[in-house]
Amino acid sequence: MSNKLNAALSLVGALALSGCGFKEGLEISDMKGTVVLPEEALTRTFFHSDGSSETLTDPRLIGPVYLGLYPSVEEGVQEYPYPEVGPVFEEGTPGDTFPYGGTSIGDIRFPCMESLQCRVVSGRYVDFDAMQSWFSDVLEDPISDAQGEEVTNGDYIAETCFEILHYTSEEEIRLTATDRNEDDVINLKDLDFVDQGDGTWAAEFTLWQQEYFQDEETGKGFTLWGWMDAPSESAYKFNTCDPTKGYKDDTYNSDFFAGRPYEDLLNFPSKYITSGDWVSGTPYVYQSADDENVTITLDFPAQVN
Amino acid sequence: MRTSGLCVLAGLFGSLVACDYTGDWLFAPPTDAPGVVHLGELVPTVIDGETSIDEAVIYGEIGATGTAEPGGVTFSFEGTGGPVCVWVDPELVFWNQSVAPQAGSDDARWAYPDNVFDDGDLDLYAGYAVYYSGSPGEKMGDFEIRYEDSLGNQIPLTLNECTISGLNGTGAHSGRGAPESCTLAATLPGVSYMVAIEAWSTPLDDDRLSYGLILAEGDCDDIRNGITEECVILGEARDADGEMIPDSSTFEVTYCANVEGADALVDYCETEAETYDCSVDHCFCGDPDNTPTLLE
Amino acid sequence: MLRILLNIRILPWLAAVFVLLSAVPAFADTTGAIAGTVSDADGLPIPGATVVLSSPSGTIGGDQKSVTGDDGDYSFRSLLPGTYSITGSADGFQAVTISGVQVLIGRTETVSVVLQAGGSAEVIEIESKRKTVDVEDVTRGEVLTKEFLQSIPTGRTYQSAVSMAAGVTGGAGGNPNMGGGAYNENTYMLDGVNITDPVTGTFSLNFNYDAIQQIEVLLGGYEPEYGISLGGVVNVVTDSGTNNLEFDTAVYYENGNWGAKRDARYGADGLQIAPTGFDSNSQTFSVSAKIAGPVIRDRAWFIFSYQMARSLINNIGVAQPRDFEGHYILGKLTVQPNADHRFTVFMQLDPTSIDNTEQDPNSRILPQAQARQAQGGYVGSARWQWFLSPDVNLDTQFVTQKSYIEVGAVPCTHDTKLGYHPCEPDEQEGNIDWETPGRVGINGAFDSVNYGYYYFDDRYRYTASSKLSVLGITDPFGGSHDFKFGAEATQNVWDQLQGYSGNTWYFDLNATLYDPQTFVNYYWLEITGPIKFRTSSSQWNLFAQDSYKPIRNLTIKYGLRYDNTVMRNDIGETVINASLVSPRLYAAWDPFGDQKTKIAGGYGRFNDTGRLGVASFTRASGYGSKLFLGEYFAASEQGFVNTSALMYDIAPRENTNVAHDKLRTPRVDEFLVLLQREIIEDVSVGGNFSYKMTRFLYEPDEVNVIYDEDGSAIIGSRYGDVLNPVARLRTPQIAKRDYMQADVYVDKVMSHRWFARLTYSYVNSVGSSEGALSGSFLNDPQTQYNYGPMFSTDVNHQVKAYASWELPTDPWSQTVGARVEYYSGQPYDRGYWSDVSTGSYDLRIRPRGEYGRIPGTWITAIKFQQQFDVRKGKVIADVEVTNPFNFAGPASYLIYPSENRLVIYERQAPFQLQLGLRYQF
Repeated sequence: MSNKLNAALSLVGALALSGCGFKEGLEISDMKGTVVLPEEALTRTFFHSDGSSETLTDPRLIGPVYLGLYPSVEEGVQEYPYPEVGPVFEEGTPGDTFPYGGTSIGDIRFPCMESLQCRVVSGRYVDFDAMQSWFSDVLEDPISDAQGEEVTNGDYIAETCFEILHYTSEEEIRLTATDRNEDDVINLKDLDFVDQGDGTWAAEFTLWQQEYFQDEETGKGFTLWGWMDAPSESAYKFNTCDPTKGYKDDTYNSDFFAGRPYEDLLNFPSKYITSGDWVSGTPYVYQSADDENVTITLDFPAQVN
Repeated sequence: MRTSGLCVLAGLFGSLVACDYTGDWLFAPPTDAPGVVHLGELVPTVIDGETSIDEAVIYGEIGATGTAEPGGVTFSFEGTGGPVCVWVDPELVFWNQSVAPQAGSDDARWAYPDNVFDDGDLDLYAGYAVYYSGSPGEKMGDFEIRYEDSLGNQIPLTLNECTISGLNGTGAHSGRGAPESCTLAATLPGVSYMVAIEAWSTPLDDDRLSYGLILAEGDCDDIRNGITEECVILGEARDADGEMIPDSSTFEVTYCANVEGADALVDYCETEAETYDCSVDHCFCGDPDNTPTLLE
Repeated sequence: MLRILLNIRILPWLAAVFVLLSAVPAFADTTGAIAGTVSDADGLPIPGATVVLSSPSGTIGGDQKSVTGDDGDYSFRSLLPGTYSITGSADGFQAVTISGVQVLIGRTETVSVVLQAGGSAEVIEIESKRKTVDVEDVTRGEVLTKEFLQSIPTGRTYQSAVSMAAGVTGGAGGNPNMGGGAYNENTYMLDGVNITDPVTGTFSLNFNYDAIQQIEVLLGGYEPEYGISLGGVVNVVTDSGTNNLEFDTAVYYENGNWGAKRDARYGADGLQIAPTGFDSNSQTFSVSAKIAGPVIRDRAWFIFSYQMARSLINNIGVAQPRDFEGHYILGKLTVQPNADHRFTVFMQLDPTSIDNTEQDPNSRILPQAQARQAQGGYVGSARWQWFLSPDVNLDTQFVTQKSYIEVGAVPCTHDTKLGYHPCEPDEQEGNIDWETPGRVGINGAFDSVNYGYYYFDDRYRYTASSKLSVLGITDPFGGSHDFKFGAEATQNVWDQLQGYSGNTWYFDLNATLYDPQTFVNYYWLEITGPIKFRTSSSQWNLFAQDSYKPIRNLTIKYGLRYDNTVMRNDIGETVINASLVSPRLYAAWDPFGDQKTKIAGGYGRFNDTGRLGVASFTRASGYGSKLFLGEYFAASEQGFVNTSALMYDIAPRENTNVAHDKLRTPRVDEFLVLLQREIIEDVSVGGNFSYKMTRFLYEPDEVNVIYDEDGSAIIGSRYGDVLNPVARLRTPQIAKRDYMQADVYVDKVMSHRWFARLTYSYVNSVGSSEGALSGSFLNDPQTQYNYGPMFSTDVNHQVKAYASWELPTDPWSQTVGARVEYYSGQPYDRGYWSDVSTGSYDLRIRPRGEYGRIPGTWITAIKFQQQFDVRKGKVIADVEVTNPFNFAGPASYLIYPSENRLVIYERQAPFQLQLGLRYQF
């Protein structure tokens, strides 16, 4: 009798505690890593209207970086590495992929001026003056406001954004840098990509709440691969940005959309990768969800016919 | 005291139950036209000088299932090695008054409500018969399968090979009364294909939807040969005996003329409204008087 | 323990209980008890003394008699809540009668009877003193007695009365947040029957306020028999009748012109936020009657109550008022033919109709299309209490409940004086046009959002339960035990049928009253025909509990509850299948043994057995819809014949929601400390501390769409189509809440014609998931999950005070009651409009809840009652004034996260008046 009672009490105790060790069976974690760009990717020669030229290495030449997690990547099949996955339904459509997740480093943003549609990425400008001078002085394509007047200082952009977006701090809209490294100074070191001093620039990324998958036979997890969409030479625009969609602001006109990324960038990367973009030549293959020091280098300049 | 109290309670309970409905009457009552039809194995027709489109049309009728389960028509055919066109046209035309005229125009009385006589809608799907999940003649299915990627993840895939072209742009199904067609390019010889025509809706007045159907060798664009889509198959509006409803093809032709630029349909509708009592008779343009009473 | 049970031959009964398996997920106590000791003037127990329980208005089953044992103890159990008298007598002692002993639900009233030596035949009469400190009670909560409900101004609904308990805040739709839980995580019980909506977790029945005897409000520390609730338990017990025939009828009226008005002029920041027509007119009537009394004196009592509640509210600019008409009918028959058996049959119905539900002045609904929502239901129960001995009883109950909601159109009528929908001349009386698009349903027809949606919803619950109570068992060590064992089973079914009239809906660009001359079809949708489906669940549970008193001044309440729940969606897939164990251990200590001090506390686990709304998450039944652009878009091209484009096409039955195969159920672990001390006679001070950890809340996450760095734009999809988000229902560990509440209070029990209570609560509530299955995490997908304040429950400072005073103005009687509540503001978010895929999207850019808090709000109310004696009864005039001293202070706020502003939404108007007149005999 007492044995049975003991057994019953043990069972009850076990049941009572059973909730403590509950495992969903999902491996979900915040996956962090680093993306490295060679200096060449942010170096460009500008020919000015006065006949002079200058070669600049500037983070403002870094476009949005798109990172995707793919089941597998096959190298050497195309001109540049791209995820080769699963069935291709439409003949001649390479990379009809089914990514597991992804993120970007720097988002295409609307800095409240129609003329900046699809031309500004977050995490690239120290302040609004840096934005204004980049377009006026370097690109020689000054920003114009809703009335078509040239914007001559960064404060004007900031004020316009206050009016349109009602924001209360720089963190809220992330158009310009905040004191990310907490050194009480806002400078180039607070941007996404920071000069490593060894000819490379590096940025951190986080894939929030990513579910992890792994092939039980090979022990290999999914593959991290990505590319940087460099701004076009001619117009300094990003071709991953869809100008017909996005935030709509009637300040300009009812037909104007602020632009946003295409929604299938990670599914059909080859549709958007153009010459001048930088692609990861050596994708990173995860060994476990807890891999540390995950780094991929966008070292492969795309050449697309 | 107790007895009368219980009687009051019982009475109240009864009245409560009487007020509570299940709403089952909102389902179409079963008709003698079946809700799910299998036409068996069909052979693609060759439309040429000897066989015209009209001769190639198969007319039929389906009813409502009477439940939330969708109904429809299926048939199979064997691949020819070349393209095969499937064309289906439910009664009558893709037009309802609610979307027709400009506000404030003289035709505005046709603006509302919908014409319940022609609001049946058929959606066309086709693919390899092996991928079809339904039970022909009993239960409609689809062409969905799951693909397992290299990490063992299941990716849902649609293997419907029928990409609708025409009236509503590529890849989208059309609305009520409108034809749908697709060309299955390069069908494999000897391989069985299944065509599933799902009844999105049947007309609300009688829940009987008649249709015309073509299965033909070749590309749909070639078969259509420039004819307005709605007029490729004419006279598909049929009564329960399979007889064409009088004037229905005239209405279709007028409609097509309108699409092609003539301003004929308003006159047709006005004449029809003058000739018939549309609250009782079968008016293709609907009942212009069936508009809500405005607030005083 | 088992040996004792065997000794008293209880095992067969125990077996009988388990054979009778079937029941409600909770089987609350609906009775109370009186226990105590008979002693002489020196405090020595008197064995063999006779104690008689009686009541001036009778006791069901007749007066009860108890003879004290060696220790002088006596007890009366399973007493209906109310007021009783105790008469103690013994040879050689003068008899004593203690009257006015109040029995509360689930509580034992301790009454010590002290007999004076002497042989006088005269009986000493003593008025019972209310208990100031209940030294055995381990629950956090309050019992709201009839005198509270009648004298404190709480708005005359049980839901609003509950808000006076500490730790009850805001909520939604009359469902408060209780003890940090979401509004849909409470358990509502009526006469021991669970009337919580099995689908939504909200209350499901309305009934006559005047028929309520007591409301037990529990926020923690309750025993397994009360079941499971992540929030609180509201246990309403209605009157049962007495030996006296009682009649009570009342009329109440409230005019909205005196009531709270929405501020239609300016927000706090000076911006105009709405036209002045935003104000509303309203009138509320309530007519009620209650009759209760004996069928057979001391043997069979009945109560029948009826209330008609009607309110007419129309926004300015809308001709047809929202017309709410509810009929609340309650009948109960309690029969106790002898001391051994008590039978209770109970029935409650609340058929209700709401006409003209669309009250947006801009939509200008046509009469043909105004919507009617019919709702209501019934609950019926049959209960058998078998008193095997004074200390052993078996309580068995069968319950059936149905609730329904039907949304359609107001039927037409030819009677121009009645109804809101005049028939066309040739239209049949009572007709509803189900075929023409837009003629029925929510939002009615022809307005800007013109969808004629109809909905038929039926919810059923079938339950049976049995509870065996073995009380007053003395163990070999001298401790006493009150054991209870229960077994319950429930079957829930949810049937739905829904569709759109004409299988179509339109959107008029002009967004005004339908007019063929102005109608501009912006877009329209074709919908597939109606869908019909069923969701169901099966649940059963067992519990065992003991109230153990090892020594006289220590009570240990412990127990264990096992719940099994299986929930299936419409195609029979098991979505939730869980076996849950809920242990509870609480203790209350009276350190000085003088009934004036209590130190109590403990731990309890409360498991949520789920709602059908959760199981329905993965339902496979769904409409197909096709969206077409209207003539507005086509006009420039082809005129009369549309070339409208199909914009999207959703196949029927398509549902991309999935459920994780290892779903578990949410649960709460609660740690509780209760302190209370009587400082002067009838006045106590106390402090409560409660910490609740809620884990494994139901939350879906989105696994298809892949976002960019800030979650503001989509850059890819896992399954190839961003328009097909795939929501996966989970109960992740990250979906959790932590809630801390600390109360200090002063309580004055009823004596010298007044009672009062003042409570201050400090609350801290944080978490990642506001409510169970709230739709999505409060965080953006694929951004960091934040852990911040819980918006609705993180009201840091709460003050609740109430008092009632009966003025000594005999023969007339006047009562003044008052209530004051203060809530410091809840947090709110700052966001801005971004654009994700198909439209605007409110993106949060700061950790949630850190941005600001709305200002605090005060609520004050006062109630006067004047009683006049009239022939054969009395008349009571009743005036309730809400906010008499609070001149148009803010009552609620609208938050515009994207525009960084907060505007006053409602202001409290001074002198919100409710007038009532009652007649009682």
